[in-house]
Amino acid sequence: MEIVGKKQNGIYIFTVSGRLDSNTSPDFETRLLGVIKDGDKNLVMNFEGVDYISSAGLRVLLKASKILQNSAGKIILCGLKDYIREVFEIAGFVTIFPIYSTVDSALNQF
Amino acid sequence: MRTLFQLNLVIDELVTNIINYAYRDDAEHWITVIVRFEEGSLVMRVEDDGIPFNPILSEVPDCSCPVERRVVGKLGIHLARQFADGLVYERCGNRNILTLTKRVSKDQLAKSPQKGRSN
Repeated sequence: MEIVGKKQNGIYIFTVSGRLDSNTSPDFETRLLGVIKDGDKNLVMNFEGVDYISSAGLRVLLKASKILQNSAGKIILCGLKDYIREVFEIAGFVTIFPIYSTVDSALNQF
Repeated sequence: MRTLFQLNLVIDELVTNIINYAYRDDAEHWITVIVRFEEGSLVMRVEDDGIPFNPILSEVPDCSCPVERRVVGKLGIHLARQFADGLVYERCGNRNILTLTKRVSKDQLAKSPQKGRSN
């Protein structure tokens, strides 16, 4: 798994690639919660390069979302492959996270 | 790709769950995963000698409530169950034996590098 983070017009964009599983999710959690702790509350997750996600990865997103609830922040996802999106649907995460096809369309939601 | 991903996910969730919750000691344990092809389905058998756990009876997490009431758990077993077409649990002696089937088409198998190796 690789995570690249950058801030653009006040929105923090994470570009994630590879596998989000029980081995890599602790790193994902550290990065994501670290940025939130530093005060960012509007986040975009670009998952174009994510080819695997398990419940371990979903848990990190849920945890982050719960923290952001208190600060009226939000996480918007984009670029999910069809079979990755299906995992989000079955987990009921599509009602928690807005999902868009591209980074630009996700950025327009803020 | 979708079927392979789902198979990978199902095995990952079940085995991760066993590693995280099945054992009350620090001894070495064997988890056995056997995958075979049978009459248009992939049949996976996962065996462990951990505490009795029937994932079929595991509570279904509420996947429709607001984020503040979502629980950060039980999702893995839920995903495994949803992506399987059939699930049978047995407790034999000190072993949990879970047999899971997933229907696959010939086209999906043809894309798999393991084609022809099942027995």
